[in-house]
Amino acid sequence: MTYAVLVSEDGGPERPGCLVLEADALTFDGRRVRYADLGDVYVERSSGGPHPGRPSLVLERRRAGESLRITSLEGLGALHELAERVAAARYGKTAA
Amino acid sequence: MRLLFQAGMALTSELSLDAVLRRLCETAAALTEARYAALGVVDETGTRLERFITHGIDEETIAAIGEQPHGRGILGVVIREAAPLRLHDLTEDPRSVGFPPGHPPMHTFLGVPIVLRGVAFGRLYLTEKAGGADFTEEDEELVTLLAAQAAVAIENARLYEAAARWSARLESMNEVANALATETDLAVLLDLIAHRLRDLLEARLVLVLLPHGADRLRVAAAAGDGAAGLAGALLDRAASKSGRVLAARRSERVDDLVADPEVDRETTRRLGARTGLWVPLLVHGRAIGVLAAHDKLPADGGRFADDDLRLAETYAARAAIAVDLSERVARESLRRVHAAQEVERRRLARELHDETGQALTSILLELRSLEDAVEGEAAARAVARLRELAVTTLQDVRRLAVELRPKALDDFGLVPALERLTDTFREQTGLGVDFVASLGDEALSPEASTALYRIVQEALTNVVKHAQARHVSILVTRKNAAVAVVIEDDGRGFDPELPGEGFGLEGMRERVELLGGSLRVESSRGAGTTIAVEVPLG
Repeated sequence: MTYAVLVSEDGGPERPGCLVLEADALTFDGRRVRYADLGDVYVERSSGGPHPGRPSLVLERRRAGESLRITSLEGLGALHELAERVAAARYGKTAA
Repeated sequence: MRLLFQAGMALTSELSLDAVLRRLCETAAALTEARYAALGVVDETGTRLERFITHGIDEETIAAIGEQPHGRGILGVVIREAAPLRLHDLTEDPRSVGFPPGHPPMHTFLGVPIVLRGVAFGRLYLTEKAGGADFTEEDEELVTLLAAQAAVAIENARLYEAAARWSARLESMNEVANALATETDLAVLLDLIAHRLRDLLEARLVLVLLPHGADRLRVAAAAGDGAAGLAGALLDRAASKSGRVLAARRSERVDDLVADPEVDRETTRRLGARTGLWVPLLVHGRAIGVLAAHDKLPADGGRFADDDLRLAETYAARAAIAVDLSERVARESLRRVHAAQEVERRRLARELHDETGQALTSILLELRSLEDAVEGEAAARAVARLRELAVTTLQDVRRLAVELRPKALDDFGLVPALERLTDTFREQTGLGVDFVASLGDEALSPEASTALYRIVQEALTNVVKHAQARHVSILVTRKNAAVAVVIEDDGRGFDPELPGEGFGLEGMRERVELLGGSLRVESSRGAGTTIAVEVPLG
């Protein structure tokens, strides 16, 4: 399953690209992040910046301080679907 | 003479050709007291025997001899010269080629042609007159008279068999036509067409080919020997007989595929075909596909006859109507699905905006009043949190409504809606986006506006997902009697021919073709992608 997204790593600038959900990991821009390496997974609204209140999916890494913030370019429905799949994969069920 | 009379009456009462030929052999042998009789039926060329019926040789001996004669040697003399021939000992004649192993010895010989209106049907051969005597002039006259009666009987039998065959085929054709008329699922219909035509023609293999893009044909269905794995195969129109038949809208029959330069060698090898028959599927003069049949059964020669071609053309006329109807039903069904989807999206967007949005606005107004009325810090903070929640929810609802169905598309039309879409896309992604529209006052149908909007939306999503582009340009113009939309990016490109690299292009193409338009994709690795869409105005 693929999604058109904006991804910000560790608070850095957002980059557009394709997020791919595989059986045991998600990939973006050549980077591969295993679900098993994720900590908390949740949807959060931005409090400031150019799009205040815009919802994003936050994936915290097990290594403290590292996180991925993912915003869907395909709408709220796609974001929530992505969130559900990643959470299911992180906590034991199949995602892709 | 009585025997001759009785024989003639018996011959003319037979309708089965095989029975006529056997009775002829038996009667000729009886009339001339010959031990052995045989009748050879000549082929279409008139130079070789295609059937050989014997009398006086048992089945075991026939099996031991093996292959039947083809008309060489003394048998060939009678064929070529079309005149009776009597020999005292055929083995001593210099034109004899001898007998195969296991053949009973034969010496005295009488051969007589069977002719009707100058056309030779066959040859009657008699050998080994009783008592070792030679065949006489009287024998020759009797058998020639018998052969003349037999010629009439043979023609009657042939006409009867041909009529019976056509009657059976017409009955089959009616059954097929009824089946075609009731089946609307295209895949099932095409499969039915291939299988039924194969039965009607008694062909080894039948293919149904439909256009695939501008320059190829796709095997949409196959039936018969070697059919497995053929469905989905693509042929180059310019390099194949099927493509030529489609373009010329005219049937063709080829008796030797190896000798025909227009036949694609690779395909012929793959199919293992020796002969072929191609018929276009025509609807109102437009070719919508091709039926191809290979190798008539049984396997000897495998050539199709003129009758087969006529039968295939009659069948193709009905099949074409059925295919066209099925495709129109499928297109109409898809159009209704798309239309229903957009209606539902419009309604949901409206409900979100008018109902949910209004309710949230009312909540915000009430909360403002409550803010002024509450006392205490805790209460004020709670009201503030509620207010913030209401604001973000209202923003989400409005965003959802636009995602479902942009109001600009219904209120202002395609160009303003695309302007907003591209502005949002530029702002969200940071990619360079140029949007140029020069449509003027042209009014597009709501269906066309929606389809073009969705296509641009999908194309932009694909740019983000796959292109790794820095810049996208979108151009909307009028081109003759159509609207043209061109979406071009400077990304990494892809190979449109490879399976799995369609990126939703088939869905876009379907939308466009439902409107009578066209979609063209140009892309190659490292060279960006251009999608060009044209949709008729009005």
